[in-house]
Amino acid sequence: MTKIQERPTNVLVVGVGGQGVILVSKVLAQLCLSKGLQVKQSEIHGMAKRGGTVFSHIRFGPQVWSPTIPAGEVDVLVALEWAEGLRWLEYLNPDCGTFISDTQHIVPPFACRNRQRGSEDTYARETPAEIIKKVPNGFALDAAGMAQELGNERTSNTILLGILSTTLDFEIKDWEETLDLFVPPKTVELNRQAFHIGRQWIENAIRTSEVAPVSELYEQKFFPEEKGLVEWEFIPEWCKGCDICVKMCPERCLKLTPDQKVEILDINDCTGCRICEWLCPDFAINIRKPVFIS
Amino acid sequence: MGKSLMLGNEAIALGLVEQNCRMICAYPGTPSSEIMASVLQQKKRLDCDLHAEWSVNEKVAFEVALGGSWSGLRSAAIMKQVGLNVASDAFFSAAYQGVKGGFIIIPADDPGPSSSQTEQDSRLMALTAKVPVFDPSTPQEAREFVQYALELSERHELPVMLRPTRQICHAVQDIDYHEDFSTEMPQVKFDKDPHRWAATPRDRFRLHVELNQKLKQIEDEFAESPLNYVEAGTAKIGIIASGMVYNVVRQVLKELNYDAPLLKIGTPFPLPQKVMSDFIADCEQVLVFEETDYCIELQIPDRRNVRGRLDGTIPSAGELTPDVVGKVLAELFSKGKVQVATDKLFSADSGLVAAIAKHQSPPRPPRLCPGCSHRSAFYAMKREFGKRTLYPGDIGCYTLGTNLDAVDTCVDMGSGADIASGFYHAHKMGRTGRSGGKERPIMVTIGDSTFLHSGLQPLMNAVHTDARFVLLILDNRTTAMTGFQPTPANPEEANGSPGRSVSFPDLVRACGVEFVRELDPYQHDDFRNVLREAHEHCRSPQGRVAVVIAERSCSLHEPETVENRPVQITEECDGCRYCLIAFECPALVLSTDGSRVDLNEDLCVDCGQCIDSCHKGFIIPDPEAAWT
Repeated sequence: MTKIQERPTNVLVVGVGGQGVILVSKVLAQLCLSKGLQVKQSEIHGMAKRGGTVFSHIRFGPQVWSPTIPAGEVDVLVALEWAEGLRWLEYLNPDCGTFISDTQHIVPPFACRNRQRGSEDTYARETPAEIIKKVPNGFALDAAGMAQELGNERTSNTILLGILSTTLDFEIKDWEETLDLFVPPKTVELNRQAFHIGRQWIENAIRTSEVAPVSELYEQKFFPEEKGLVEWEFIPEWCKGCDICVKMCPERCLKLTPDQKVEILDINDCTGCRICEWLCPDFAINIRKPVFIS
Repeated sequence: MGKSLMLGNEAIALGLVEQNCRMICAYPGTPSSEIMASVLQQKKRLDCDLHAEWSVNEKVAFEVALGGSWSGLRSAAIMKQVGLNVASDAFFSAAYQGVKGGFIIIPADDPGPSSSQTEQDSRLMALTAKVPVFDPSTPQEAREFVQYALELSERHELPVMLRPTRQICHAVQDIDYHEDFSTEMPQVKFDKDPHRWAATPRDRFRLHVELNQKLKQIEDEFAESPLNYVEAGTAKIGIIASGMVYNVVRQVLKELNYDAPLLKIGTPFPLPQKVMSDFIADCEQVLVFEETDYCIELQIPDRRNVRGRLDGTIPSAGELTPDVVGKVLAELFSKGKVQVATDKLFSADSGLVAAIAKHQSPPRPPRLCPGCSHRSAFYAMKREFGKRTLYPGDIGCYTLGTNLDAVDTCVDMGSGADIASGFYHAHKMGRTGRSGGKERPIMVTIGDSTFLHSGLQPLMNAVHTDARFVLLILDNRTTAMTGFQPTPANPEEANGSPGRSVSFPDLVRACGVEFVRELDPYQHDDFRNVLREAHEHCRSPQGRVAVVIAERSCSLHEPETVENRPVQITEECDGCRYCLIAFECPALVLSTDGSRVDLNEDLCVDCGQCIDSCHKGFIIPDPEAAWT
């Protein structure tokens, strides 16, 4: 429990646009204000529908100067998405910081921009168990899954708010009442439930001293191990030079030769997406890919 | 009387309204946009007689507000820092001519930069134009400085700048507010004085001399001003700070437990030299912290004991975050062998960072929203014209077309068509010269608001000089990037009252363009055909510039205009990810095991546009839903 002290308390909430980062930070800021504390908040917003990185710094205490938190000074880091949590981990106080993260993955297109079969995704590879071991206090949970079970996936931010509430020195009643102000009137009850699901989860986790449940995701073989080129097999006798595959190839790596047959310009450009094979009316193309997922 | 959490921009708007500012003009741009939005809210709440407009560009905003001031009203022009470049012609002249009603210009700076093309410091623009500057360090100060600025402006009949930075605009702070302010309408009257309001070059010399005298007086006033003050300290190294970084320095000094004397500057231009020289003389060494460039430091005549951005002690670019300030101070103190509590503070290489060194979070740039008509237009354009085509772009949401490889250039507002003209003339000469080479199509994209802001002149120029390219006006009927401000093409004004709207086809035809087509970019096949026709027209011997207007409302602003066309991704999806990269809709997500693409139903707006992005036909209309 972080006691309110002379030094400002620093909370950093991070996630992906549309997850509700700003709601979490607004509830906390309003709560601090109603308790007569000075609050400063600084955020990147406007990303709600655009799937970008969103973060919000909240600092509160008897006196706050700078609205931004220096690296290594965050008391509680709340992440609504796994890779976003890792992105900001260097901001966590390495001695006594608390890291609370959803294990949910939202893989951005940039992480799989290289469509070549067998190419590595650049999504964060650490498992929650690995990270939790390294931070002073760490909790990783499948809040998105818990919210889904509750019946509304969008309440995952409130579940995390519930967990956040156990690390700060405010009354449960005040949390609940402030939360009510910011959620749509119809979902007040649902959000209160979500809030308590979060609180119960952390109580269980602490009592059973059980490391946060590692998402099932990691038991699957997520990351491709093998690399290899695509094999592009062509049966010239069957090709009538209709040009469909040349026109539709997303990488534009096919070409029609003067004798009205298709050839591949550079096999390195081929991503093995199989569009040509799929569209060829004469079954003249076969794609063979290296083993991707075992 | 009350206390409320307010955004810096809301605090500035409150300041303007409570100071009886009657003419407020703005062009949207991050981080300034919420000021006007909040002014409009206040106007509605207080039901006050106040002219507030979203002008067509920053120069227009500045000039309209200037007209208000010359009529005796307190006036304000609001923009982002690069907007001041657009308004600078009027800005420089207005400094000479002066004002009547208090006139305040608010360019919001963007150190970082977080969403601008430069990090430029508006205070240096003011220094060049000879306009006094107020530099607030908190939302609360920003609101109070509005009053000081307007009073100074009236006293000296001079435009005055209030320069907030992004961290002020977007910081949230608890603010006291009251409602007992004057709402009396001042007398509106323009006093003719051609030697001033229509000054000739002869008059201008006199006005310049007068301006210099005013600045001298203002400097003397600033030397006595409570906005510039010293906080005593025992250390030998003194600190001068201005703007947001003042708070950062206070915080860092407190945490380092280092008692340095601190001179807070609220008025960086004209700099009160006496205050400065007294402070510098008392210290062994002085550090100047300011954002974004070196306005204060530059004005110090004797910099022998002064360290700052100019001599490289402080990084010469970028925001001065607690990390940066902490590092600068810690380094300086360690050299001076001063004992401070730096043991753990600001050490970016703590054990924790080392432990996670191998991790790499993927870049997560913003994307076009689900249902965005720009995406459909870009996708059709890319499918039709491929990778060889040149795609000059412009500034707005659709700059995000870079993710889709559909935007190759972005300079400033309205530059796309000019770059295209340059490309065309250069490549034409290139083909007849030694290098030869094939003709490359040129497709320019520009948004509706940007086109009206400064896209017309480039188009006229291209028609006149016979540059051949296709101009694609992406008309989503609002200024979407900055929060849905209306443009002159909208049927409503900023305050919601009906206004006359400008017609794009008429405008374009009036510029001499013969090929003009309006089309919904959701009609993928038709749209591709029209783009091809447009290109053929512009490259035919009798052709000219061709204009295609992609017309469809922003799906975020007017979600009701999106037809209900839910889709399904079939079991057969093999996870080839083509749709993720080429269409890049946030609602299309890679499944957790990477084997297929799933639909995020929360984000999906059921526009049905992604059907065209799967060539294998695995994205299909939802068989259980009726398409409209």
